[in-house]
Amino acid sequence: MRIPPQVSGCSIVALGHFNPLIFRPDWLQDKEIVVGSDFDGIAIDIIHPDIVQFRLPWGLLQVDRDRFSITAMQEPLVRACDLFVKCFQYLPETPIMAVGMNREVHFPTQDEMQRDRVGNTLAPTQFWRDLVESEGRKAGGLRTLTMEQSLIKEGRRARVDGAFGWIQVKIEPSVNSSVPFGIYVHVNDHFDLTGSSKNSNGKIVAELVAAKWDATVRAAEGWVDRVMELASGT
Amino acid sequence: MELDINNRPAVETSASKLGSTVPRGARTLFNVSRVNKRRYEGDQNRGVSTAQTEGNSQDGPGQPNLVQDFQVVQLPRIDRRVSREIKLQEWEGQVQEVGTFNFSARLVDLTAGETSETEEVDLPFDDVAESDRALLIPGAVFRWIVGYRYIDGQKERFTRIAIRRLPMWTDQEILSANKEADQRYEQLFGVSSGRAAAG
Repeated sequence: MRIPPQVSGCSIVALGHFNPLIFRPDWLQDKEIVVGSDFDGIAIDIIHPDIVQFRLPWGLLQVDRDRFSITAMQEPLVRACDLFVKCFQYLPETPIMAVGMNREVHFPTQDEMQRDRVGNTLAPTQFWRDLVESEGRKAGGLRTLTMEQSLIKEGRRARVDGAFGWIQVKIEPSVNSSVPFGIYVHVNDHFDLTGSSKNSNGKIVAELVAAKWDATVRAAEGWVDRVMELASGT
Repeated sequence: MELDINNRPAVETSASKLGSTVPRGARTLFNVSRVNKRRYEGDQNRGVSTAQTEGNSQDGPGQPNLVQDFQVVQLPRIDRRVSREIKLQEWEGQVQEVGTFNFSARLVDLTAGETSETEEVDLPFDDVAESDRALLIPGAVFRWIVGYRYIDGQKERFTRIAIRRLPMWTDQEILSANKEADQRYEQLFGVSSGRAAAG
């Protein structure tokens, strides 16, 4: 990436039916999914039949009855993928309806002008002049923009690679106060697995994530880099 | 920004924005303490002794330990900040030999976009966390990262070795390995039918 991000992370989110109490640190250690310094550094937020949440030295695991989420906030981000895939290889019968791989970045720009260049390029303000300009001065701008790759196939949204789901790229001004004139980019690579019982178990989803992870992260970083290119003007 | 799990769309796999904390809808500890307080006050009003419920409660002396009623494990909160890091270089390595003070490894330079091992290196054990050293065995796969990080305004260089907990081989990987082995067999012996497939 041409601008070093201030905040950077990846996450994998699965929607389905989960038993949160399975994902306790001791289970993860028994299965050798989280061991060594990662296990020693676990900080538990909550363990409850409805929700389990704890922090690893490099990220956050959160499981409730209908959602599993692992976030990596420190390099190497591939640890999120390893943990996710290994968990569901051990839980191959888990019903999972959808899985999304996310790449998120907050990066700084030099000044307001540089940040506005991104907004004005992606959403020209000419049409919105009455709304975002007052007496010739700027009075607003782009708050959020989401672009989506999806086609309609069998009445559902599908991606160009043929799988059901979508790819979304979201761009916003960063709300993180530590990122000066920051821009937030979020890429969501979503696979919809409903409608096919064969494709909705943990084993299939683990294999899907293992197969797609590298390409998803590479593509997402490509999008982040293109936004950075707009900001830096190079 | 907080995530309200009760209002979350059912099909959304977008992650919460980085830096989010405990979901608001999941703060059962808050409800527990309120309920406990109400029960405690009720007991006080009814003249019920709290002596039987004091036990090892961490709520303080004289407070009833009713948290167990909700199966909630209450632990002290540990704040952990993630510092800003700038990654300069990333390799994926495979441990070859483990010595007394060092281990040798072959590296793939991920930053350069390489996919095969092109470098070999000796790394000191001191670069690996003490509790991870038992994981350093020949064949172990790790990521080696060199970069800068900012802590309290100070910029410092860091190196990190993270030993991967690789998933088991997937069906697709076994198929792919079989295909590659078939091709090698064919190159060596001219036929592909005689090889026993794995998996």
